[in-house]
Amino acid sequence: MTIAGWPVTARVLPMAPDPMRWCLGAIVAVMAWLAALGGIGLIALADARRDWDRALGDVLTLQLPADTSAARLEVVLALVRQTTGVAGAQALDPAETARLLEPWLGKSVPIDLLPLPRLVDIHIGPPGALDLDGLQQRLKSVAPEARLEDHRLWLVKLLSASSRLQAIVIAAMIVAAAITTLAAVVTASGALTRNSDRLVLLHALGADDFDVIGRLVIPTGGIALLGGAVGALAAAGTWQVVTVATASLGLASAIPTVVDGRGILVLAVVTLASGIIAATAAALVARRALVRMP
Amino acid sequence: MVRLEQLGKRYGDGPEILRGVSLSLAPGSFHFVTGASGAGKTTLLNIIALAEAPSRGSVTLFDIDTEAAGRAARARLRRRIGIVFQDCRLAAELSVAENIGLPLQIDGTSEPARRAHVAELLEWLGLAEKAEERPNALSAAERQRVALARALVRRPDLLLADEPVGEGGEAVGQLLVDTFERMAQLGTTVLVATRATAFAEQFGYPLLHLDAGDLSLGDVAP
Repeated sequence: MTIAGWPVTARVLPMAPDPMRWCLGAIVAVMAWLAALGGIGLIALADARRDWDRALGDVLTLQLPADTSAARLEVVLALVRQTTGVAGAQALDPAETARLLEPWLGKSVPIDLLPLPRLVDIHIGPPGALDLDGLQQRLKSVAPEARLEDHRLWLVKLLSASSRLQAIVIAAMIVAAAITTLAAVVTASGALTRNSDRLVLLHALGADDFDVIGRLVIPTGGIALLGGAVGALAAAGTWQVVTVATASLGLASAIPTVVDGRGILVLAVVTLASGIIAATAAALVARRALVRMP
Repeated sequence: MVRLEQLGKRYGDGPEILRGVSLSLAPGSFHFVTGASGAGKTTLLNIIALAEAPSRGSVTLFDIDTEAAGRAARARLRRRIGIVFQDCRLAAELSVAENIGLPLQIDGTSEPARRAHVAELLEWLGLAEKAEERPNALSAAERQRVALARALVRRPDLLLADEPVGEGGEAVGQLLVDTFERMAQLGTTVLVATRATAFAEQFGYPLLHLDAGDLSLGDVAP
């Protein structure tokens, strides 16, 4: 027996529309933006640390007065190269020195007219092989004005500062995750309250926990996933803007800024994590409510 | 089929709503539970329907100890129970047909089978013309008939009704009891709670009387 016009639908008792869902989406988007920026920043910082370590970890710079003669320079180079623990030494020509100073002095300064010091890059061999104090003593005998700069001291300070920065970024990401969790809990609790009659009815009619929990988890997780995606994409855009801005200021080399494959992975993880965190929080809220029902 | 042993129910620090209720209902039996408002009838039905947990005692349904059963098992047990709530509890945003078919949707019954079951009930209860209506467009008697249809749609092993002579009036109560009688003849256990003792007495079935949480068993063996 059939009844004409009876609309049989596949939908089961739907939840009441949640006016807070876009609020959750907006909060998660902001948190995802923060977390994604942090994630990309951590990658950039790790790259920078590696580059600093590679560039500065095995190099000393010897600085000689601008009027040092070529003969004196050769004597100094010979002395350095004969020193145990030194893998090589190379004098920088004035053009290269000028290029190194350009980020600090700018392009408009006539570097050619400045009394630039003569710089020698000293590449250190195996760790611990070089007697730095001994080298300084010997250099005094042939070039009393020579100044030896050990970049490793700066490197240690840089690495220490970047470690603190990493910790701050990770803390910010944890806070973002916590706020996402809190927002999801509040939203799911509100949905639970608004739909308590429906949930009680479904429970009474034999719906299992999975069915009831799913009614909260799917919309909450879905809106958080969407918010996470929006936030992650916004973070990618922000990072590129920062890249362009720093490049226009001539600071491109100071901030490694490319959203590469790893960056895209960060964006994907942040997006998925947003959805998973919110869905898990909603599931726990629903589970807690269900425990009160036999 | 249904066995309650020393059942007690207390909300918070309040007095016991049910006090040591023991009861055994055989398959195909039909009982009324009578008592004044607040005597504990609804609480008793809710506990049997696994909508509330007792504070003490045990509930055995279909030879399964409900406390020992897991949550999934209790959900499966609830699917074997049809209940007509005092306030009907129809979903306002679903049509009459969708409300009646809701238990089958929860079960995952296919749409053709669901359509067939629901259509049969709609026709039987004289609600075919109301299939597309929303519950708030129905009279109280029609809403109660929809609630009855929803309780029957699974052809349950246990039928419970809370105050059938409620807002729908005695005629709907009569229809509900007549329907439940037929189900009992097919082996379904029936328990109807009502404060209208005179209404219950006219059918000649055993009466259980609840008074301040104590159950008088009448002629039903505990």
